[in-house]
Amino acid sequence: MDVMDIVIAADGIRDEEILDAEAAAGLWTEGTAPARRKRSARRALYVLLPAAAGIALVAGALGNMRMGSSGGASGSGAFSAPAATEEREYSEEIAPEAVPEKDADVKGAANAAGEMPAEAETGGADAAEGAFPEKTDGAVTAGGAVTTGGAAEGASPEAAAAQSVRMVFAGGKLYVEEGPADTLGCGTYDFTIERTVPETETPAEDFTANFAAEGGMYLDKDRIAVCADGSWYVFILKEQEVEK
Amino acid sequence: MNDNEIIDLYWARSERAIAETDIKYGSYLKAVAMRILAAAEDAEESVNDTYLRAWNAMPPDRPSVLRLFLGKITRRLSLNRLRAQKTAKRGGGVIPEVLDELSECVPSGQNVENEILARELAETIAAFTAGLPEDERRIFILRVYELMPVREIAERLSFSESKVKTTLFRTRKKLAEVLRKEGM
Repeated sequence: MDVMDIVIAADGIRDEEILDAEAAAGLWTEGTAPARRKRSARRALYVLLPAAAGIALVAGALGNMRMGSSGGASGSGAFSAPAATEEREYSEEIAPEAVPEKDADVKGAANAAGEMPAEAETGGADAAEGAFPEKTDGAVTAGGAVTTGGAAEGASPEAAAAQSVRMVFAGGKLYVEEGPADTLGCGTYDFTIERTVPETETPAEDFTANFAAEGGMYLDKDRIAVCADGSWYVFILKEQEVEK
Repeated sequence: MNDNEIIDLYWARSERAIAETDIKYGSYLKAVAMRILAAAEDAEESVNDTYLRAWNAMPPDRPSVLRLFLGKITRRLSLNRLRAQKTAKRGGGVIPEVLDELSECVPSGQNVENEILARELAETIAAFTAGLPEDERRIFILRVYELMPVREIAERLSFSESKVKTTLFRTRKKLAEVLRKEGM
């Protein structure tokens, strides 16, 4: 068997699974490529409203932090709710004729991608991980308030706040997010994030994060900056954060 | 024009079917071919061959998702063209990278010439893919079926590149194990 045979044999992958992956990636729209444009727009909004999102995150973390608490399911629902608009928009654009035929499968895919918040609440870590970056979208949609836009609906305020805390374990220490660091641009890292755990979990191994982080640098003995999706965020040593 | 109308044109043996297919899916099919062949002329030929295959296949075929039906033809033709050119390792695009990654999954350098073996392999890959967790499945499909660069997968699925790479590494290990058990 040749390696090319495997690539060719990938043709055998079921249509509904290919459609699901394409929909998740916002691929092959029939007109333009809305997913990419929307993500670019989202990045612009990252720049405009990071302070509001950061303040809301830190406020939630200070008030109600419960590291590694259970209830990830409701967290995934919380974060995936704002993603619904985008997913629905390009799901409809992609092969509209295919959607009714693959209704059950597409529903399944959409559920994981956050299209149906009520069902997504039982989605678990996988759904949560995929939906996480949409969190800031939720903040933007809700006019800068992370916990609005359906984010906390159906979840207790404590659980929602606990799950919104982004954490990084680096150099044997646990750090929690303090807020955005606007003046830095992603460049050379002191360390890279090697593993990602579900957002409902607390990272416990070196260079692990509970969100899609890329790498970071040490700022001082208590603080690090972490780069995620092209922006830097300041993280503070957990003990320091609690004392505050 | 919607897909059913285009398929009706094929069934009516109207040459307008090709023109309408090109208008609706031409750029998509070129993109599929370009990912594999990384050469505009070759990609163009693959797309034209796709139209011919589609013309010959409909009727009797009546695909439920025309875009996937055409995309699979283009993909297969482009891969065969690439193999025929024996430029897989020298060519551009993502293919050499994907082939290098998958080389750890296969025990020998023999091609699957036999149609039955090829079909079995396709079924094994399909079953393997279906059994993967959702995120892993999407990443694997985007890499191996769509032949998408790691960076683009990460961007489109909002994951870090390292997560995508780690996931693909784990998936390849699982696939190697499945293929070994299946005696492939």
